[in-house]
Amino acid sequence: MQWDDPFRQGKNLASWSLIDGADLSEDITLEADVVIVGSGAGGGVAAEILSRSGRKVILIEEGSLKSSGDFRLKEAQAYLDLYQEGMTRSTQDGAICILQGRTVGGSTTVNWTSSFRTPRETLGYWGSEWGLEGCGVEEMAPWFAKMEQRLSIEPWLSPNSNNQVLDRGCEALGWAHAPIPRNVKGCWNLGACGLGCPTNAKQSMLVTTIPAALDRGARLLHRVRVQELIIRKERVIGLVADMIDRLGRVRPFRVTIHAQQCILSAGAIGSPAVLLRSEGIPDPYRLIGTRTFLHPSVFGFAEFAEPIEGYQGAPQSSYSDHFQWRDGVEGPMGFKLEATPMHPVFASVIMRGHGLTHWQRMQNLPHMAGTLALLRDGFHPESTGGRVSLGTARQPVLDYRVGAFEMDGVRRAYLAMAEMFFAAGAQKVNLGHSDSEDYDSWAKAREAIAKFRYEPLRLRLGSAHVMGGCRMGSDPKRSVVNTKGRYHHLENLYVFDGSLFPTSVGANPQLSIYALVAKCASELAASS
Amino acid sequence: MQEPLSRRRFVSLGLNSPWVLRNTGKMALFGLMGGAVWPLSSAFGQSVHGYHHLRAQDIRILQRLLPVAVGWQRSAQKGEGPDLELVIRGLDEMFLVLSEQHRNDLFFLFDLLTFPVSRKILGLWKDWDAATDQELETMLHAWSESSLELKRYAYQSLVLLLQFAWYSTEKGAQLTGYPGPPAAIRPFLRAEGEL
Ligand SMILES: Cc1cc2nc3c(=O)[nH]c(=O)nc-3n(C[C@H](O)[C@H](O)[C@H](O)COP(=O)(O)OP(=O)(O)OC[C@H]3O[C@@H](n4cnc5c(N)ncnc54)[C@H](O)[C@@H]3O)c2cc1C
Ligand code: SF4
Repeated sequence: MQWDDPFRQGKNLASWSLIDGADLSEDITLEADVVIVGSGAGGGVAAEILSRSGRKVILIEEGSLKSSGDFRLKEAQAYLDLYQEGMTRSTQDGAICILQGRTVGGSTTVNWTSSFRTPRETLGYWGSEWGLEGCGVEEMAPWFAKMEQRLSIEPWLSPNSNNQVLDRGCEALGWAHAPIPRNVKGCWNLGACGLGCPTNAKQSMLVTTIPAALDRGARLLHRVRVQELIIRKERVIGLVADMIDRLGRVRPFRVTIHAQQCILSAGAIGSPAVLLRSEGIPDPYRLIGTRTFLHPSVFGFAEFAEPIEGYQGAPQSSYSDHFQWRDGVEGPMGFKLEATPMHPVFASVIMRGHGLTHWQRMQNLPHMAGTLALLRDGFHPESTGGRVSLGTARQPVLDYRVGAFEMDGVRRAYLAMAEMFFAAGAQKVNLGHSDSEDYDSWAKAREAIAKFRYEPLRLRLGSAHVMGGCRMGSDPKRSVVNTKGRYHHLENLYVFDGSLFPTSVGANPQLSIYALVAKCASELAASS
Repeated sequence: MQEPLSRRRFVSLGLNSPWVLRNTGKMALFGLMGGAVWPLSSAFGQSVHGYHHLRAQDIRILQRLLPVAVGWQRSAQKGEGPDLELVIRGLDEMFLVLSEQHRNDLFFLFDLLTFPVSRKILGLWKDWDAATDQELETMLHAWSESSLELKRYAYQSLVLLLQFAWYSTEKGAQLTGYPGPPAAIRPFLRAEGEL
């Protein structure tokens, strides 16, 4: 039954091999055919495919194992338990807040379920500009279809009021808009996707591919953080990891894994970090961690006479790509408009400001609609993304500068959101920028937005989509892995996660990751 | 009981800290403030029973800033004040999951706000006990508006933390009109502590 928590009442639970790094009290060494680092979108899909092919798989996750029974729909608890750095991760200068999961299932356990195929414009650009062979629209179509079926991805046709605002505004303005496909099965429409789905309706890796892999004998190690790969003569022979205690601290015990193949699926910050920490990693063109993209996102809010209750119902079910491609793939930054969930903690931090103004806006939460614009980075010569490097404690640090090119996109996105809100019948609109007041007409908002000071740390910028850093390509001088996801300079090392992309996706990335990893992992499974 | 987490003795700012930024304006500010404060900070600070990370002076700063950051004290609609202790305890818990870098940056900021010389540079002329809410508001506003990225960074890190902690409390959430998890699911949610 869907309701059953596979990690509490699963029918095969007794046969699963689960190891908690907080429980052991000595160093351990394990062997496998394939070791996978990270249990999110990439790691989950790879684990299922490779264990089905008969390989002995070990899946390692630095976060803890939390499942539906643990999800209590309390914001703070969810953010502290399930997100990287308790949802306080940011770029080096603090300007962009980064949301990533750190739990079994990775970001898929906390994501908002929007499931888009990679846009054809993006696939085309990757082919022509980045030499990505075998990833055209036609070639990818069966992989998208396969993963859509595996994860029950279907358009969601009963938008909540917050998403209806977006539909209404776009409709009135003649902007194209459409329902969002979601990876859910028997969804209760609770709106809690970002806090962990309590009903197992969300078809995240936690309830789909990971249980399937465990059924096939894969072992899952959680609260175990991979430090580095062990490299000998052009091969990875294994890796070393630290056990983590219940408070997230490194314990004095280590895990060593020896494996034939090593797959990095630690996400677009985690995977480059493992590579950079590994002694002797060949990186002749110093490409690891470069061109990291974020879909930097900005926020807009609107008050309506009627209740909106943006914390109820599927968080994202409508979108508009009206501004995404119209100035050309390589032109000024395009963006996608979507709704944002509006739970109190989340809403309070995406609205910039403090004091009385912030308080008054928050006291109106039930009548407040929230929208975001995802800016498509990496397609223009000026949009080179960020760089992951190692900090003093060998932790990953992401340096991402928001310059004039990005800020021009931000300004246009604010204009679009304000215009859309007024067209939908908003009484008042404000943007997530320190210069924003509450505007009661489109004319006033338009005039003010033009005069905002577009500088970092004057506005809320967020990202839930970290991509790139180990990009794919056929030319080792321009890419980190080949078009099968294999590291150019080591024969048995693969990267299977969001770090594969040479630019941002231009749509919420999970299905792009599922499909590309399904393709690469199936190729690996088929090789002897 | 869990043992207290690495209570700070010496805070070391990594080279990646936003406090150690490249361009000269920021370096100058860092030199001025950091230089004045740094040697003292490790010797200073009183730990408080029951808190993992926050020291007495940090707690004082956060207690004074909380109502100003969330806007509470200006609101005429409710008589009573927020449960400061509950919120600050929640904040102390949050420090567990922050990256070491982030934690150190915040401690550094608390130190700057504690020592009179640097506190004045940051715009607060009075002691934390003597300053009025209005003066604190003026300081936060000035940070937010500052042309120095560093002050805006200070603004963002503190204000976000305080808002996060406040709206995480049941009362903070309820006052916005948020009804809590949908009724349909409530009977199925495990209570705190239940396994
Ligand atoms: C709040 C939120 C909402 C989102 N909403 C959507 C959405 O609606 N639609 C969509 O398409 N996308 C969404 N995303 C993004 C999407 O979920 C991610 O892009 C995707 O899951 C990334 O897959 P990945 O495999 O690259 O990394 P992840 O899924 O992030 O998994 C990486 C895993 O590796 C682990 N790890 C990292 N380093 C190590 C290490 N050294 N050792 C061991 N383990 C390690 C991490 O803890 C993590 O669990 C959302 C993300 C978030 C955070
Ligand atoms: S909206 Fe659906 S998928 Fe999301 S948490 Fe609720 S039941 Fe789960």
